[in-house]
Amino acid sequence: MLAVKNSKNNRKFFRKHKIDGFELLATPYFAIVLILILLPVLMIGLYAFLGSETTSDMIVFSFENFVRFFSSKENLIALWKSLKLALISTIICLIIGYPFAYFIAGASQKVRNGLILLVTAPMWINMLLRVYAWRQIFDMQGPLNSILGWFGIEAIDFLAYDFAAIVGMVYVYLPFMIIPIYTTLMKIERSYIESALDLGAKPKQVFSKIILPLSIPGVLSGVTMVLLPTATTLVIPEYLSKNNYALIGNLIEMNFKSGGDWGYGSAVSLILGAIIMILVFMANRFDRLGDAKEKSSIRSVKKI
Amino acid sequence: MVIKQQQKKIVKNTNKSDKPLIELIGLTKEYNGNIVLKGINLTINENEFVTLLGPSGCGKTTTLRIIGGFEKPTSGQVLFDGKDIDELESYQRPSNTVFQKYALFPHYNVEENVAFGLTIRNINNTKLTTRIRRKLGSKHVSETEKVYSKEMIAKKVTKMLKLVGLEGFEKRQISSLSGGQQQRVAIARALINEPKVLLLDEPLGALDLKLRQEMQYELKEIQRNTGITFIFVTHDQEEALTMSDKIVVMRDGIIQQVGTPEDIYNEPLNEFVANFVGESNIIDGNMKKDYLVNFDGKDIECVDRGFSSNEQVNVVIRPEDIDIVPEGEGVFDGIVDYVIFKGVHFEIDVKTSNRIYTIHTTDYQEEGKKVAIKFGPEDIHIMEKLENVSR
Repeated sequence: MLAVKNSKNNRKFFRKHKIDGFELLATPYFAIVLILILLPVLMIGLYAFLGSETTSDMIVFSFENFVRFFSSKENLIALWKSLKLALISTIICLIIGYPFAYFIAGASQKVRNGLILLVTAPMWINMLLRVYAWRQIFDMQGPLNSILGWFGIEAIDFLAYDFAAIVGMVYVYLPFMIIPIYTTLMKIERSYIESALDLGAKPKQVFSKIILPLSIPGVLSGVTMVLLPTATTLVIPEYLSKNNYALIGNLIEMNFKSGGDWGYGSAVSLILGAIIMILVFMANRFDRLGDAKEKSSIRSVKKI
Repeated sequence: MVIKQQQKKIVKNTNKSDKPLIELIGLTKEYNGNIVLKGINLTINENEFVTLLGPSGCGKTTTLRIIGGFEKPTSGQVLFDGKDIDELESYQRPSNTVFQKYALFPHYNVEENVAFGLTIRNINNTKLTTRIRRKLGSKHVSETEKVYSKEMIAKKVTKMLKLVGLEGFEKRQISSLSGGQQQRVAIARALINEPKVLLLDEPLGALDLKLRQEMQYELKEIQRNTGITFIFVTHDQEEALTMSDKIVVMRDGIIQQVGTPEDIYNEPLNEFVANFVGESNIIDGNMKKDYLVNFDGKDIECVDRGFSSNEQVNVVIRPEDIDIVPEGEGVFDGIVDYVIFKGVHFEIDVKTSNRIYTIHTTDYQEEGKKVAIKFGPEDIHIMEKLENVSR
């Protein structure tokens, strides 16, 4: 809530002290956004609603792509699987990420810097490479099966299970969970913790009553940042599952790549986009509940 | 003058006992080779309003934090009711703290903030009481033993808010409160646990002058009404003089003087205290014999004795104790050098042949006028020279 207040004050300052011509510097950026993001989205929207009778002379709008998606059981299963994998990965990221972020926040300056480096370092390497490395590890002849072999366990085809894909997702997106949580934890004032201790709260209670509630905004942004990419990821299931089922990302890719149906692919991506937007909206609403309560009380303040 | 008037307004505690509640014995504290406390010995009595006064970096906040259990002393002991509380964590100590920046929980409203201590205590009741009983003796348990019902907590919160003048603020969010109101909530939150000691770490620092003065009286009032020992940290000498029963002047991790506000002001033990608490004219002098001091080339009668013959001393004369009289009628002749209007009084510098004296008076004098300054034996305070401590 403090951040909201600050951003308001900054906005006032920025508006009041305009720098002449400064906005012009943003022109290339807006051009890129317009041409490379807004236009394609509009195109996708257009394609999604094109009917199959459309010819070069005549455009026919219809919902048939959407009807086709929802009438296919396989598609719905793919959608459900994608969301399920994303949710499971996000929850695992949270379970691993929160304690880890907590540990980093509590470490000494030196250790903290080292750990942050450790968390972010994998991001310097191409994601494709990292995912491919996992594929090698999970391979029938890979190191994991060799180790299991020493214990007399028969080789397992990990890539035939969701397990491998989930491991890949957690591995790739864990930093996006840790960093925002770590940042909010670091921002919690020491004096809050001290005064809770002072008022008789034991360390465990300080966590549950003070630290956890104050770190919720970080948890929510972490969840958003993991849930969105995992729901649409293409590379990870491509390499870390044997394609024995189609995920929604693969479905979209298939329809665009192999000369398939652009209209249908567009419709699927729009549906997925809509679902994700609803999820994000819900997360933000949850976050704002506290703020809203506060705002209404500010409005009712009477000067004394 | 102003300070003295304010002191008179406050009636001193009459029910104050001389029973020691907290004893600090040889406290030292070292941070990475930096020694911030160099052996603090101090006794704080029950029901006392004690102020730790000193410039920033003198160790006053560290001392407070050690009492509160937020820091461990490098060596030394903290005794509470005669028992060592070194191993008690801050959540087990019979003290509560009002923090410098209030530290109100932003995700709770006023009521939830104030009730925090009781809510937690309810949860911990059984375990906590047995520990305190074991550590401090069973007479401390009676109050802490209670388990409060929701209605009782609400009642107590209302009572506390009334005490600090914030009735009807229960449902307000913290961010909607002004600095002064947040301050009051912080005090209410700390007092609801009915601590034996309330620790206050420069709590008025962020308030404007008028509000600060108001809060000074209110704090004193609260202290008298509740009978709780207050340990108050400040760098503001006026604040200290206004509120305290006992002032502890600190500097560089060493206690310089302990005494009542009157003692500290009228009988400063050394140059540092004289300078830090109020303004002073400090003059090098030579103690001829008991009741006779020589400075600025004159033998002058005084009320001090017990110094060795011809001992070098510091002579302190408070600016408000010097009168300006017509030329030739005072102790030293001089010229009015500089006049500043300070509101209640004028600050006038009079240049004599040896030095400039600063004088506080309500009578205006023209700059350049030839005058004399006059003071009686009781206006002079003699103290030992501060040799070893660097300024």
